[in-house]
Amino acid sequence: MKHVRIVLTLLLTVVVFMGLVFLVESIARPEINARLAEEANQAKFAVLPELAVDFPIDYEVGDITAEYELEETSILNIYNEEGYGYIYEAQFQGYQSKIKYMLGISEDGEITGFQVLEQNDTPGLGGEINNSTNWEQFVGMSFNTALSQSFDGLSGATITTTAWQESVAEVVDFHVNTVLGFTYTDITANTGLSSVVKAETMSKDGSVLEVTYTVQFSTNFTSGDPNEYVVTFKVGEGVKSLTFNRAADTPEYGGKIGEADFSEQFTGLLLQDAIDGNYDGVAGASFTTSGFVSTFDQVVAFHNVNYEGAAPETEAEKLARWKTELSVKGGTIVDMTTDYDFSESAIDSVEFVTPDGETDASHVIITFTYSGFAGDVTLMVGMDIDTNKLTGMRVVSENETPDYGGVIDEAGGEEWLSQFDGLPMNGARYGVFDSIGGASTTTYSKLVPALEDAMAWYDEAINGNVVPAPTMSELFVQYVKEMHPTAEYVSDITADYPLVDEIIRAGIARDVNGDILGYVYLVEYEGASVVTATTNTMLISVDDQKLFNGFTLLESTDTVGYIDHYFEAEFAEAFIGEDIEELEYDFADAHAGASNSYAYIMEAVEFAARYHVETVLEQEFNRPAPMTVSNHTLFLLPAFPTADHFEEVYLDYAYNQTIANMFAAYDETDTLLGYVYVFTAMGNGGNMIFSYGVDVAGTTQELAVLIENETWLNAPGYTGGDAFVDSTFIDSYEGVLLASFITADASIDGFAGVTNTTSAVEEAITEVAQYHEDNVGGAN
Amino acid sequence: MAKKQKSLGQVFTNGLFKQNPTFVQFLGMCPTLAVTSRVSDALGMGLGVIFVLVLSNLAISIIRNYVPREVRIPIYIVIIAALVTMLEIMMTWLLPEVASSLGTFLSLIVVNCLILGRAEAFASKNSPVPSMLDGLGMALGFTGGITLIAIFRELLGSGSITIWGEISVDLIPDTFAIGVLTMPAGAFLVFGILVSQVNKLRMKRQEGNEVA
Repeated sequence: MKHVRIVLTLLLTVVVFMGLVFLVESIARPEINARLAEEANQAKFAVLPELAVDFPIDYEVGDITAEYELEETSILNIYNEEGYGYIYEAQFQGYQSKIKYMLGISEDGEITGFQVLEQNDTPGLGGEINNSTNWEQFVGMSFNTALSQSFDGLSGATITTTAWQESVAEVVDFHVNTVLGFTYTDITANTGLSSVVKAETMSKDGSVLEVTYTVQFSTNFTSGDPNEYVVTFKVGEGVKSLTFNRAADTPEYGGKIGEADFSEQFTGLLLQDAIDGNYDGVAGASFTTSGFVSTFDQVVAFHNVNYEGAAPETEAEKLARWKTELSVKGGTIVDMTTDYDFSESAIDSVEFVTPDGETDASHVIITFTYSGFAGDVTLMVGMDIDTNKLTGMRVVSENETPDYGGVIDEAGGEEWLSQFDGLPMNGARYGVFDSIGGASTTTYSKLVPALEDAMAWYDEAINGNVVPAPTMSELFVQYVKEMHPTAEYVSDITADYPLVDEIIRAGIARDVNGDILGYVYLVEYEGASVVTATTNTMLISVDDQKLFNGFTLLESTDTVGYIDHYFEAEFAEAFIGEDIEELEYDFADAHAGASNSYAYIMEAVEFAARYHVETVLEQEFNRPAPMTVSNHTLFLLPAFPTADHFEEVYLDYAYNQTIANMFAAYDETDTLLGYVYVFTAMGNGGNMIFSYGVDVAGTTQELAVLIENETWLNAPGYTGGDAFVDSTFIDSYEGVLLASFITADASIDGFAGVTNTTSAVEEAITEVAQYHEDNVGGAN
Repeated sequence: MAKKQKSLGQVFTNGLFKQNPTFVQFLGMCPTLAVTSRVSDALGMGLGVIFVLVLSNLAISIIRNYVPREVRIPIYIVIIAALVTMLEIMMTWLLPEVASSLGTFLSLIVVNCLILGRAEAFASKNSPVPSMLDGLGMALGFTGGITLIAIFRELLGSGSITIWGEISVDLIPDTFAIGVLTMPAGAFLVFGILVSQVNKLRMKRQEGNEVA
């Protein structure tokens, strides 16, 4: 019973008092809401002050909340008054309570005010959001500041501040993207212009309204960051605005392009005026102005084609524009190709340009084609007839590897092409310009002769200088000089030796003192072949110590992508200093997947090395080192007793298996007395070594036995009483003309019973005699 | 010991001086320290406490004989909470600035131990009219106490007293204001000093009574 009573009284109390509360609520709440609405309306006028100018305080601003999908947002209501702006009523969770506020945005795109309607946050911290001093920053705040959440918050109330910033950013974003319906799209990648670092379109309902480009161009007289400007075009009109972010050139000259005087003239500039260049440059800063103009023209042209519906430039228009650019002032273009014979030339066409109002042509446009790395490359150059200088080069067509040879046609190649602006005729003719790293065929080795051809024609046709085409010899000399820049004399020795198909040219480069810098060989050798036979043409240089001191792969019809590595300096440098007789095929050096190409190149190099040693030096290729004779007194003096000192000279002469070493004998006054040959013969008891002297008249001196293991005294049938070393057999070789031994002669008495030894010695000496005749030449 | 039957007048004045909730009973300390930084806040809080205390004492006194002992506290709380809710609504309607400046402390009147304390100590044992007077006296004593603290804190702490937008007193130039008094530490300081003075007075009076 007690329990029932307890529950009952509790229940009763609750019901009665809650009823009372509801009663009070129902009376008071409408009054409160009315007051809040009134305050809210006041707030609307407070955040969008423009309204107060024309409307009374109780005016009901249009409510457009229903037109938008606000479920996912923190926005509660949106109000709009045509011509005045928008008011957003939004709410976010602060630290301790929900905070409701109003934000006003004018039609011009500026935030006009902010006011808190309700909040119950921590007094002194989050509650400070109610302090009107925090609302002042919103008057005139830009969208950017709001979107970047970088306006001032509340000190010590981080959570409330962050939520506040996020909420405002969300509201502004909604305003821009949904209510105004503007969408921003980044089109930077689509411009294809290297000068444009950022491009963005602003569209609404699918049609582009504005396009903004951020453009850079380099400074001329200062180093560091380039100039940068931002230009906005209003589609259908022209330029909306132009501002310089950075004008980094000389402050008194090019730097002035950053001033308001210059950029103001672009506000409202009609598109046609922008195209025609109807604006002023910067006085006294022609480089900076032209840098600006060239990037601006590019941007205007791009914008015109892509957003103003201008027809893109046709190929013909582009070529015509280039011809105008290359002839500086443009004018009448006359094609005179048929007046000349270009059948043997790289030149495709020559066009003479006569400026308006003048009678003589001022420029010639030469278009020529050469076979590049992967196909034909067609280039166009402009020549200034007065100065004999190039005005520039343009790439008409190419099919080279993108990022390698193809670079000349891409954004990165502009700098390479610019080196032809103002290049003198002879500079172009003799290849005084840089190639592009990694693309030497496209940009150098094939271009040079083609350009030389074009320049030669120009020189002859315009200046009347006839230059005979260089013969292969002249070209070769050029190559040699390129390989040995300090060479003063280059002698072509090709005809001095037996002609070999693969060795197109052989030459010796000497410096100013006449010392040999190197033997250079122009080799044309077969390359790797899978489908068709290929050829490698290379230049190989050997110094006088039989070490490599130069290698260049000039040309190859081997497969693109495989042969590339061997054109590189890295590959060439690996040869320098290597012994030509110890060429090692190290397939680790071969480029991955191109070991076949590698093998053929190495074979060609070995061929050249062999030619050098065998044909030119007339030595045994890979000959063993001469036998060491340490004690000349003990081993050589017996052969040439009248000599004072000896010098090893074997390496200067051909190699002969029989001859172990060869020495020149000199007297005290360094006069050459003769030679000593150290030779071997296989005797009965083993290898025998002799030293044999012969004077400059060809008369033999003494024959000394250095090593022998003969057992003549034991030989059955031997009737002479002496040992080998003491025998008269030895004596018969002394004091006679060496030449007489050239044919194995029976004038030397053999000895019965020891014919093995004697015939061996006879044969050896015959060899020596023949060698002496061939190499030293008998009587000097 | 038999309880002295107090007169209605005595019941009323009890809460003002002898049993002042703030300086003697130390009841309702949290709002005391929080709302005394401004006189207007203190007055507002006092107003709210008067409303709640008088009506809750009345209500509880009326039903005191029908409420089982076991559930008396929950029932008192329900009543007090309902009254505070009504207070909030009416204040938001009629005195919005006071409501917004008191903020959460208005809601916290529910847990002000003064109200529950008087309900338990007096209203549950006495008839309605004395209960009402007791509530009124206590609430006025509370209001007086916190207003006194607030006067000192605001005047000395910020140089002037501003009541609901109208500057009443402007005594000290800003530079001589004692900043610490506007902060919680200052509240304790002022309170402590005032308590000591009140106690001194009480001691004197007690001695006086004893002597007489």
